[in-house]
Amino acid sequence: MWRQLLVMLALLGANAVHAHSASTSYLKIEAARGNEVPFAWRIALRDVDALLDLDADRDGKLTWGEVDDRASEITQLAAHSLEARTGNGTCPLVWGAPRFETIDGTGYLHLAGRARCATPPARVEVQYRLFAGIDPSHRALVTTPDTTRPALVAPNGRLPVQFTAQAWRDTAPEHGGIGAMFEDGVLHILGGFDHMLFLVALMLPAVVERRNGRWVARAGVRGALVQVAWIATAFTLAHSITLALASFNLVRVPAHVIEPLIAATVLATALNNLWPVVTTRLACASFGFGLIHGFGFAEVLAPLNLPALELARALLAFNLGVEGGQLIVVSASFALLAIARGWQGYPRWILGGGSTALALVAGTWIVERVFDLTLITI
Amino acid sequence: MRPHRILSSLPRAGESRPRTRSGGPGVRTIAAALAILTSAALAQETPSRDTVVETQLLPRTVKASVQRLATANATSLSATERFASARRMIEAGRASGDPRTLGYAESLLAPWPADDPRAPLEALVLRATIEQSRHRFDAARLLLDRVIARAPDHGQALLTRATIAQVRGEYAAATQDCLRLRPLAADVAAICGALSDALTGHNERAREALRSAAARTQGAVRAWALSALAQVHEQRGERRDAAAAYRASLAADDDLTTQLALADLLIEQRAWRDARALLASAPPADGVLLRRWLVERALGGDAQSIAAQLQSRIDEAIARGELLHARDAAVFALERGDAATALRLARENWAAQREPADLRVLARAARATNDRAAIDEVRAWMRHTGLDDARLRADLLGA
Repeated sequence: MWRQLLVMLALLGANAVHAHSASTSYLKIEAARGNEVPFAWRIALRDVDALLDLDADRDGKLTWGEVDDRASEITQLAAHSLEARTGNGTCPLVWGAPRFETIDGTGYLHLAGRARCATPPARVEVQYRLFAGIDPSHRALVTTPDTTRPALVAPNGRLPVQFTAQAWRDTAPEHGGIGAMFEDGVLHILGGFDHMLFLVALMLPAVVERRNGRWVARAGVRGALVQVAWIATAFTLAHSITLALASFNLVRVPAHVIEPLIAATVLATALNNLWPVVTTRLACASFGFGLIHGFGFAEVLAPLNLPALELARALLAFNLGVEGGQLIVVSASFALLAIARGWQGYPRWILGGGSTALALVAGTWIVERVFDLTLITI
Repeated sequence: MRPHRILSSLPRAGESRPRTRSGGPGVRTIAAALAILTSAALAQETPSRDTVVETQLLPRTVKASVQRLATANATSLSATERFASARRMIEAGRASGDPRTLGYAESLLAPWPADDPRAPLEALVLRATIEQSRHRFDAARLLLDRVIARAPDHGQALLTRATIAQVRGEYAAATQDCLRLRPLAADVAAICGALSDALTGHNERAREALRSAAARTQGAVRAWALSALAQVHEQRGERRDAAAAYRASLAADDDLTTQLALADLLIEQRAWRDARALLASAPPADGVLLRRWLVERALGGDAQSIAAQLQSRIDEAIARGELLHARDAAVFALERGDAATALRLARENWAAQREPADLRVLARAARATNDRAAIDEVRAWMRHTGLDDARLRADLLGA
């Protein structure tokens, strides 16, 4: 025993040169905007796991599920580990849900937060407490608007941050964001297959009408266009309402409930095309389903953790973007469908076949989303 | 939406790095017809629940200690528990190369600050070990001097001080401490002395002493004797015997330092696949990454991502103001063809530690930059200490 110990210590000295990546977190403090100071904090998952033991199944690996289940404890840890204050008192820090990021092969949590001061701060002092009393060699590399060199802050260290008018101007365009939010709205529709397929499912029967239990082409494009306009408007109105409710945190529906529901709207619409139950007032159905989709959109804005006024502006821009994206999908598919509607095979092959395919996809989504599986990939 | 898109207006979207891609929305096959509409959406995704986001976690025992430190229970730990726990942390750090555990060990010793004149000897020795592992050799030595002044027969302190002296190239001091160890632990003292012999040109004497020490001992002590023996074989140009001794050492007691030494030998012999196999299960410490990079570069594997990872580790260490592994950084620069940086790092490293491997990097960098002064410095050191090393002679050949 005595000898083993001796050798252990001796070897340590001889060659302890294999440093691992040391324990470092990355904190970015941005220029104050109004009363608020935005923070972005990256902490290695390895470090968070050391403090909170996230590895629920004890297999030596972390899955995102294991991390996500402890999201509230993680934001609590962040809240305890960082404090911002001005001469007038503390500026309470509110953290959004953790997101994931890899930096050169190492997993990090990315937390976005805001310190809300009583008045617009010209200077805040940040008190850093992560790993205080646990790992004195832990460091935060802090970037601030007042210097170009990152500062190194040790546990229990303090860092004063000055905000100048110049710094604010320099960083403002970065999140001026209205244009970017519009773009995000467009991309959200174009990249979100479930929203897009829902619109397509609604559109398929719009260029035909039900007569004596059979589908026949609408005579004029005009009638079909009016129908489509009603459907799209009802959808827009509905998802705008729920998007706003969710973004301002008035109503919250967890993602694991909303995700399968969104898929269910696609399934229901596709099935309705095959075995029509609702044939008139499609706009009403579109409105009802739109309410569900709005909660799905809200997942994009929620993690941004924006202050109220900025959120309202972002919401407007994002919504306009969603409409723009919707317009692209609707007009492109409407043009194609309007041309195809005269074909006698339309009801069977395009409406029937298309709806069957949509129903299959939506059904698979529901299974995937309820059981958290991946059934279809590229 | 399952694929929560990461928006371009996110506060740090410009800096966001590639995310782990998960199963994804899963409808791309069907959506191919609509590809034209989707081409604009280069979605980044947050992982699905079953996506593995980190595989390199700290050992459970280490995490348990961290959590005890984090809670108020920490104050209720007894001195014995603190010492035992700190020792385990240091040991875990040696196995994984993770410097975090040294910080945890330091916190466990918090009740006895380094300048406390009445601190228990055990606390001082553990603190010295932590300092030494961080390459703060002078701080470590001051602590050990205090321990030995209070307890002249403290074997552990004597051995640790001898080791530091050897790393610093102060062989007379090392030999003295090794001699003082003899009545306390004869085999350990023999190995300690043989190491000094090997570094001062007495290769044959060292080899015989290490061979007989290895035959008499077992476990970690035997492993230590065998890895020292392997080094002597390498100095004598006996590569086959060296590899066998390293492997025997690893069989007696698995150790990251020995693994890396063997990896270096295999790399030098261009036994790339053997080196790859050896490092396959090693923890991703910097030293391991460096060797993996060399191996993958030679085998046409994914060397690029390893190089990027290494570079970012080095950058981070510089940003933190603590380039512990200047030797590895120098080798990395040298192998990438940046001889000037390699020489600067090799000199920096040589100022801190003076083992044959440190001298070799300096020699290779000096030759690559054709720096006469540095080459003379290497030769002067060899003359001064009597160090007899076939590898160094080869490194200097043509200089």
